[in-house]
Amino acid sequence: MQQEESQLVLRCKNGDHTAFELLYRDNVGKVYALCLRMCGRKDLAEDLAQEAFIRAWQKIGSFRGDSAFSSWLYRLTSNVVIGHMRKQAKWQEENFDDHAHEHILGVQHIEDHRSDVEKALRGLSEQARVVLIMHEYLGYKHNEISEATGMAVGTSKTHLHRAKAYLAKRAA
Amino acid sequence: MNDKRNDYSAMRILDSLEWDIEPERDLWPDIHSNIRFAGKPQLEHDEEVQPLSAQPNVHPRTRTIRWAPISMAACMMLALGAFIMSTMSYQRTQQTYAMQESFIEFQKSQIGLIEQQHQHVRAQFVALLDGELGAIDPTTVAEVRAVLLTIDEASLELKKAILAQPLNKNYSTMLARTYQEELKLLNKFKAKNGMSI
Repeated sequence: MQQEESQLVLRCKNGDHTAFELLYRDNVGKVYALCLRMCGRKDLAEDLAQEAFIRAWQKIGSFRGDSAFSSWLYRLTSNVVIGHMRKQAKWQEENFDDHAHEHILGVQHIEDHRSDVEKALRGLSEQARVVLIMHEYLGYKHNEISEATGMAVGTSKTHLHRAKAYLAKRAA
Repeated sequence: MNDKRNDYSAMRILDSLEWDIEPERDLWPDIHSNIRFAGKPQLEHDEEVQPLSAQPNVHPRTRTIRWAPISMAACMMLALGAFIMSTMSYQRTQQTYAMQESFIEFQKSQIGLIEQQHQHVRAQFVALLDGELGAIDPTTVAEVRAVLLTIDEASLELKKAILAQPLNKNYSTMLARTYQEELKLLNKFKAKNGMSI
């Protein structure tokens, strides 16, 4: 599978659209889910996923194969989402109000038994949610989050700490 | 202890979420239409994926519109339009000035002709009047000279007005009429007093 993926990447570097479509089909679910988790809106998540794949095509020449293509793609996707959020006025400082983000996380997509989790995450600010996902799901370090988001390392740590405490409290 | 419990809760929550969700619409047609015109990907091996703070972030639904060339073309059109309009306006102004100049020249020449004729007739009349001094009542001669003086003063004022407002046709018309009326008056006077040229 890894070898097949590297062959597809090589073909993409030579301008093969068919190969890129195969990479798209393999990864679109994960890329879209990541966008949806980070931004919380289905329509926006679709646009951002689309933008991420377009950016991936433009940048695939810089992919050296040191890591899995999907890891590289996730990193690029998170950059796209963060870049979009940073341009929005609602890229707010901390907000732990339960009613602050009622539309977060694309609830219609999620099965009913996950609704409690969705509700728990709704109370997080965009910044706290992004830090949580980047650190816990994507494995970013705080200095990498700081570099990507523009927030201070200490702020990233504080967001993560508070997000975890908040979720633990809601889960209890 | 609390931190470990929090870590566990966060992990549990994130793990319980679904991380592979198909979007409701197929994104590939839009992606394909975008990359089709982009040609081959850039093969810059020294270029790593940078944090997006260093990259332009354009909304996908608007990225296909090339605003820069459109705005540049619009600016050039505006500049060209403004240039043409100002050139036409300048040409119109030049034409107007030229027409005014020619009118003034024509008017000067016309007045010059009338003045020549007037001076000639006036000189003849004054010479006749001087020659007939004994035959005409001195009071009448004095009145005629006073009238001529008044006419000269009026003509002088009209000439000053023409110099000040060369485009005002009324002054030149009045001057011409004054000369004509004077000539009629002189002819009547000569006929009444039996003077002959």
